[in-house]
Amino acid sequence: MSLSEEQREQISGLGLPQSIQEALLDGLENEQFTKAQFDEVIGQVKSDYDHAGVEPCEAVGVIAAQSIGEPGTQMTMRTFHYAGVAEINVTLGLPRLIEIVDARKIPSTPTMTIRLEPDYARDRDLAREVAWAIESTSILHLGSIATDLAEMNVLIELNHEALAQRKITDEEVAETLRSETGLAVEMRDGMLVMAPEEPSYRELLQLVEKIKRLSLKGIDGIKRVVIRKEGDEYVLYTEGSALKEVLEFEGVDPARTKTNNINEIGEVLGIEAARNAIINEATDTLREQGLSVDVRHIMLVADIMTCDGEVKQIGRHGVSGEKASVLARAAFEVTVNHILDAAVRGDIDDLRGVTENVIVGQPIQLGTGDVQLVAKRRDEVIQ
Amino acid sequence: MKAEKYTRYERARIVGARALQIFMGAPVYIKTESIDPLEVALEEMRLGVIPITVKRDRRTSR
Amino acid sequence: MYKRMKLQGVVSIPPDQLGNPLKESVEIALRNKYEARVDKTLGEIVAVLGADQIGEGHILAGRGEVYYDVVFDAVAFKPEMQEVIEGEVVEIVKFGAFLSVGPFDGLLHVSQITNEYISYDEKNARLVSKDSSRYLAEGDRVRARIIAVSLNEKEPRSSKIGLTMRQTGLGKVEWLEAARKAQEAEVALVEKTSRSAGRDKKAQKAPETVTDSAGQALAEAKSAPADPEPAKASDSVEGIGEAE
Repeated sequence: MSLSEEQREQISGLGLPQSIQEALLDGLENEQFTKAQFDEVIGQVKSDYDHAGVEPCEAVGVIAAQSIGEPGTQMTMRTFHYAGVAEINVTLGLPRLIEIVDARKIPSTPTMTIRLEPDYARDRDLAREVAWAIESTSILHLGSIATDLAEMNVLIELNHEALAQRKITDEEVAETLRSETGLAVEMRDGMLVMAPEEPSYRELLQLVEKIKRLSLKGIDGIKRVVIRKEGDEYVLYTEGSALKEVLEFEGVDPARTKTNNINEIGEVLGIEAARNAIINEATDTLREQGLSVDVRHIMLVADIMTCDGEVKQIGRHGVSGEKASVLARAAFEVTVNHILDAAVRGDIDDLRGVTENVIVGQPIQLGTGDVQLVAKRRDEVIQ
Repeated sequence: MKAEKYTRYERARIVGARALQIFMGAPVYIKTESIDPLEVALEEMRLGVIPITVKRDRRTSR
Repeated sequence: MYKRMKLQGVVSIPPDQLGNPLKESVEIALRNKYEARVDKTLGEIVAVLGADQIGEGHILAGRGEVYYDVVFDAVAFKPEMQEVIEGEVVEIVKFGAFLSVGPFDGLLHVSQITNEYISYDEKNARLVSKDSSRYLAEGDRVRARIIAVSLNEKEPRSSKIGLTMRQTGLGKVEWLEAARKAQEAEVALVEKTSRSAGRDKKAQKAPETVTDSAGQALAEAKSAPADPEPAKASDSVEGIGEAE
């Protein structure tokens, strides 16, 4: 028996979120039930949903702060964890959590998780090709560099195996060197020879350093790419992050590729993506430490951080520092400065927030303090 | 009279305010043996006869 | 002058009065709170006529009272500068006379009674003029002009009003009557003489000014309430008469 149109309408009329509605429909489809049973199921779901909701006037911010703060005390102070693969280390634990709520422009260890399109993900060689294309390639990956002090030359010996692996030819290398340094590059016995403008020892060494730093191929910010097999697909992990560039690569699945740089996500994919990134990163960091925090607390933090359309930190330069109330800001940090500035500008404090009202000793707008009572007329009371 | 749905904060305020009124000499709307204003107020709440309600549209108007 | 007005206010109803009809308790509370209150712009609120609109009753945290926003009708008396009033002498003292000016008592200083020298007759409680033997005693009706107003909101009793009668058309009602009769006689005389001789323009002018200022003062007193709400104001004056 499938659901009648009337019953579907009844479900959509309950005011439940989309996901619960869909789960209800899925569960009821093709099941045998009577009208009474249907009503009971629906009633139970609705009442459970309402029960799980937060009552108006609840101090959700304080509860969220405590719910995240208490597990935070159990986190290790300094953790560097190798994200499954050797060599790539990622900041985790408390430092990472602090990094997230501080909305740092660049995390201390930026890293990306790149997932590939199905064709590439199954094939080890194709995956490796993508990895080499993305990884920033310097001259040291391709061969060795030496100096000839007699001739005042820089000699670059290229390893042709490495060249073939990274799909780059010696001509391409020579061309890049030429355009980047502005110097002539000669091919001599399979070696690239370059000379500085002035034949001095200092100039020569500087040229060597410059060549070493040049990125010949790949994306500049990505220092290392590691391939790891997860289930039946190959996944790339990177050291360094460049979301916008990586997403454009052939074979990269843009929908499943992510970075731990929240600001970058905000810039490339928008504020909603940044909000989700905050939620995911914070939850993952906590879970990795064996702590479970209800996602709604983290969602609240993420909402507050992103509700202006840009990622704001929870702190002096963000949420706390931008409060409308002078007293609330003064209570947070540098009290005298805030009060002095406010006095100079002639600011007015409307005393709408919690902190201000605590300071002046009034009931706060929370819980029972946020209820406004009205007397009913006598004729309304007695029938 | 149908009892309205109140949040726990609203219930607390209503019963509290009503108990204070009764304590200060307001007429009681139920028959009761009790002389404790809070008990009387709770009983009135159960029966839905408290002459107090909640104003909720404040946030939009402010 | 008296004004009838609609005012907005808040009254608190104590819990023990919650059983009484709302309008009744609100009006009692309004009277207790606002009657005899002095306000710098409104003057003294003489009477609360009744509640017009009773708003929602708010209950504040930690208080048993119910607070109602109320729009109500009231009559207020405000002594205006330069206003001409008619009042009764309520007390004679050494330095002058006190007149009743609406709900207030105004002081008519000895120096402001007439142009003549005034002396205090303690035995009869009268103020007597030196030359023309005019006098002022308790119970006399007089017409005077307000020349100083100082309202005290916190202590209505110490509000002060200063008065004068040293202007044309002002004084004890009997003096004004006598002056008017003398005037009429003079006008008749002047008319007679001017018709025969047709001279002395001053004589023609003089009576006009006198009647003018007296008439003006009267008109002012009558039409005085014309300021804010003409229609309402005029019937409010009658209302007060009845109330008294």
